[in-house]
Amino acid sequence: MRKLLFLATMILVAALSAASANAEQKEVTVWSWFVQSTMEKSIAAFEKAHPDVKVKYTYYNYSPEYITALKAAAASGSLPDVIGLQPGSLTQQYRENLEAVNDRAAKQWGDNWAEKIFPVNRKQMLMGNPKGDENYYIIPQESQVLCIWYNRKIFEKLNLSAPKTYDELKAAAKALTDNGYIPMFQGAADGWQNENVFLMLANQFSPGIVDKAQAGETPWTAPELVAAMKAWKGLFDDGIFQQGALGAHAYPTGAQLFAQGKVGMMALGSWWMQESKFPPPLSEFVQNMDGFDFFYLPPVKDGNPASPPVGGIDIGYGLTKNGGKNPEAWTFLAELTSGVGLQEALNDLNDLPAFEGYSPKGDITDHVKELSARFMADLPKAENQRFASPAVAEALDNALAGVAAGSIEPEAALATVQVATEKALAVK
Amino acid sequence: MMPAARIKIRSMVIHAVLFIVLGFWMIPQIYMLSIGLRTPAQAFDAKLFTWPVTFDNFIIVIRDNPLGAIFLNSLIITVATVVIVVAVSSLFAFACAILRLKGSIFLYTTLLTTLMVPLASMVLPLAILLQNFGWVNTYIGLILPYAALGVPFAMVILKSFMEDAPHELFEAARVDGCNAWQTYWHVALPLVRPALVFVTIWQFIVTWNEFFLALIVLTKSEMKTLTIVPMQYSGLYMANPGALFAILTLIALPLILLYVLVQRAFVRGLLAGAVKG
Amino acid sequence: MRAGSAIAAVKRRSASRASRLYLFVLPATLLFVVFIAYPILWVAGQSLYVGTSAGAVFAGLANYTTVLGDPTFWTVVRNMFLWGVFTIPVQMLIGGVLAYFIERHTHALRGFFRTMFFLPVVTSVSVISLVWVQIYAPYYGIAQEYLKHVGIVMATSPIGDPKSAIYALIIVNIWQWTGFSMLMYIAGIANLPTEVLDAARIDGAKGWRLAVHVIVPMLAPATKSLLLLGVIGTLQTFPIVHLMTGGGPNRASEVFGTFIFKQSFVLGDTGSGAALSVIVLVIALALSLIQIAVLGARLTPAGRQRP
Repeated sequence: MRKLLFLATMILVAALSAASANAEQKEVTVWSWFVQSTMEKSIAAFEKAHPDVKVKYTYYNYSPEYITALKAAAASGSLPDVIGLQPGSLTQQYRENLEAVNDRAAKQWGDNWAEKIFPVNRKQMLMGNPKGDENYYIIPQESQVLCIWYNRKIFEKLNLSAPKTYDELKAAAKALTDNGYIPMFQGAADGWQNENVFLMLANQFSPGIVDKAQAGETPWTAPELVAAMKAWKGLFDDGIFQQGALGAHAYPTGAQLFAQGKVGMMALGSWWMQESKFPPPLSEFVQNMDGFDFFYLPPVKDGNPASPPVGGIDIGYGLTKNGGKNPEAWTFLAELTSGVGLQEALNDLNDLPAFEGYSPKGDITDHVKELSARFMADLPKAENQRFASPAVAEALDNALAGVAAGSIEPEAALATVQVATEKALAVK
Repeated sequence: MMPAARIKIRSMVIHAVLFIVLGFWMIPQIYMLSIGLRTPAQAFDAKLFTWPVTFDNFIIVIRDNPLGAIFLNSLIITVATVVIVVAVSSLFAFACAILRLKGSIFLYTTLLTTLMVPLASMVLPLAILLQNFGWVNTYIGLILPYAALGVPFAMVILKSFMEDAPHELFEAARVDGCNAWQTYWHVALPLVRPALVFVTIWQFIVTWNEFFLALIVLTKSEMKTLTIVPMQYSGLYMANPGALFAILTLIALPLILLYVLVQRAFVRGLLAGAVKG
Repeated sequence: MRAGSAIAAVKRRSASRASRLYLFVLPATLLFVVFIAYPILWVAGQSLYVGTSAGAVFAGLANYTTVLGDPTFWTVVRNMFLWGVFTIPVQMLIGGVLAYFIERHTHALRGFFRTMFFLPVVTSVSVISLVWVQIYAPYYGIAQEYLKHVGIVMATSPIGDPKSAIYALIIVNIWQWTGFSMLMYIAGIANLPTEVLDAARIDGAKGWRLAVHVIVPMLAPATKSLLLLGVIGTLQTFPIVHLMTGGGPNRASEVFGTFIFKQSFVLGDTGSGAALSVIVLVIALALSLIQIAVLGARLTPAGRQRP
């Protein structure tokens, strides 16, 4: 016991002395959920261009780690200089802790800087701002386009092609299932993956309708949305999604299975290309993305078009009030979103740029270049994928899960989303 | 049948049943290890074992990650917390059970209640508190809250053990002219040694595995503890599930090994308690 | 004469000495006031406000009525009840039976069994969650693969069905913590006074009768500790649920931990998260008062029967 007490005292002394030692020089602190290995490359490129600044990056898993750490740091005033953000609800939650970046951006990139950003991104940057607040609190780094990826090697083997109609999709799913593959992997335990597929469906019935619904301009119970919700249920009932999807996670399980060639299709987005740059050992399918290609969800009802591209900002960064006092923080943010930092992220095929005039460089195959070019061509016409209010997104997540599980009817489920939307709009 | 033979057969049957139950019980752990030993192509075979096995995953994750430093962080924080909890809670239990100080039972009830408040509720105010103390990213900022949260349970256990201890010994200590401190040190602590060992093990496990508070207090990469790490790798090794499970196995290993070691000390503590009790 | 009153007699002789005795409770009290009482008061304060930190408005009990009117709250109450009612007794039963056979019928392999059954307890819960999601999964999970051979066909993932999700999580929780119940009972059995067992044996008690009529009652302290611990563990449930189902599908497996987390961190509604915390605190207070009233009274006499 005596020995233990002595040991404890020693450790306490050591701990306290370690705490007091923090040397101060030009340093920028950054938190995000952005892939660590890619961020390290971006930071290395930045530090090479700005040798007097040191960037300290802390990686967090998105939930619960990142959102917990952010909230706690915001409550105690200890946010880092730069934080990774999603547009809409996440940005709005921390708006009071963030600097408006309009002036800094205009000084950095010229007065018409915002025009270099793709329209869907620009709209998302303002999403959820109070009426009259035209300030930007987030600078987008990367964009994304949602799509259905498919394993073209398996498709070739089974004599299938990318489906153009719902019947073809059903037939493909059946052929895949019959041959022991998972037809379309849906990590339906994750709200975001369900939202993404629902957005593809809803925009097929009426482009932009989810945006109108979340702004209170169209009720969630509108016939188009009800039809989309029924089509959503159909994806489960018609065997498009794998059995037991509601208990499955898109990451890491779904993505791993897909990469290993056990899955025919999966609703992901342009960010999936980054898999081809991951460290070995990669499966034969992921090698240079050889095994993969993408399509947009075919019409789920006669008369519908195929789903339009849906997407927007993958990730953006905000300058905190703390970071506002640190001149180097903005310098880093600028380089990360449109500069040497962004270029490194693109070279890793992390996702598409948010600013015009960038494209991935380095060791990239023609197939990947072609994929990337198709996404870039679709990005300017993409429909918005984000939600302004976390409560609305959460209500939609629950509605989608409830309908999929058969525990609530589509109309009733959408009515709950409507209630949440009205409540969220009333608070503002 | 000879009684000796019957006993032998019964013992064999009991051992066989225990082994079968254990076999089922260990499936998740074996599965974890087994996936860690698979190539990417085998990773999702719906089998408990696959052949051949590969150690590449373990080599990759050990080579690429600074597990040593992270391990050390966990160790420092856990050991310090355990020592504080054992010291503070045994003092308190002694005051409640033996000294019967006025008001100590009220404090006891209060502490018991707060044991049940979900940690998610406490995260925000603790973050503000630690920021005001300047304790973010320090070991002490994690050790003291952990200790505060650990004391109530340890104290409940120690108090009931002290109440159950033979009172003649405390009486004897009084006759010998021991003061309260001496009675605590020379009589009470040795008497409840099995409980102390038990509390130590429990606190060690709880502290080692906690991740909610660690998340908000340790915001610098180099300060992180082992439990915060597993989920991070689910992104990094997306294309290689084997590596993910290899690192999960490595993270689970230190505590398992440690437990195998202290298991012996635990038994010794129990035997000592039995002799004296 | 009880030891407590013996010391108390010493204590009464000197007032200055008595006040010095309060040094024994000082460290625990300090830790409690700073790191537990203050945060709880802060949370209680927050529960009366709506809005974000900068623009918070006093709202009285509005957060409480909102929370209590939310059907999810009652799902959570039901789930917590199920959680406690299933995990606590089942863990005690399996743990107790294992402890009995390991302690009384094994010798050379005793340490081995004790260690192996305890391993899930020391394995980090994030690791456990990832492994069990994999086990439960259709197509590539081992549960459906092996259960097929004994005639059980899992059409879907048990954590993906709102009806079964909470039970599937309870199974994981039982699996993880049974080793702990076993350990508590092992400690109890190893500490049984041999004189009592010998006396019972002379009276003719053997096998099951010895186990049920002599050993079980004498393990009451361990059982009570496990009960207390089980209640605490139930109210504290968070990581398993968060990592495996996130409280879904459609909130079917939500527990207090995930509910509070969702309100305060995902939705950014600190006020109703705080109100929920206070409600949990009140439930906890009621439960601990019940425990002290029902179990606390018997704690000393039932602890050890001295021959």
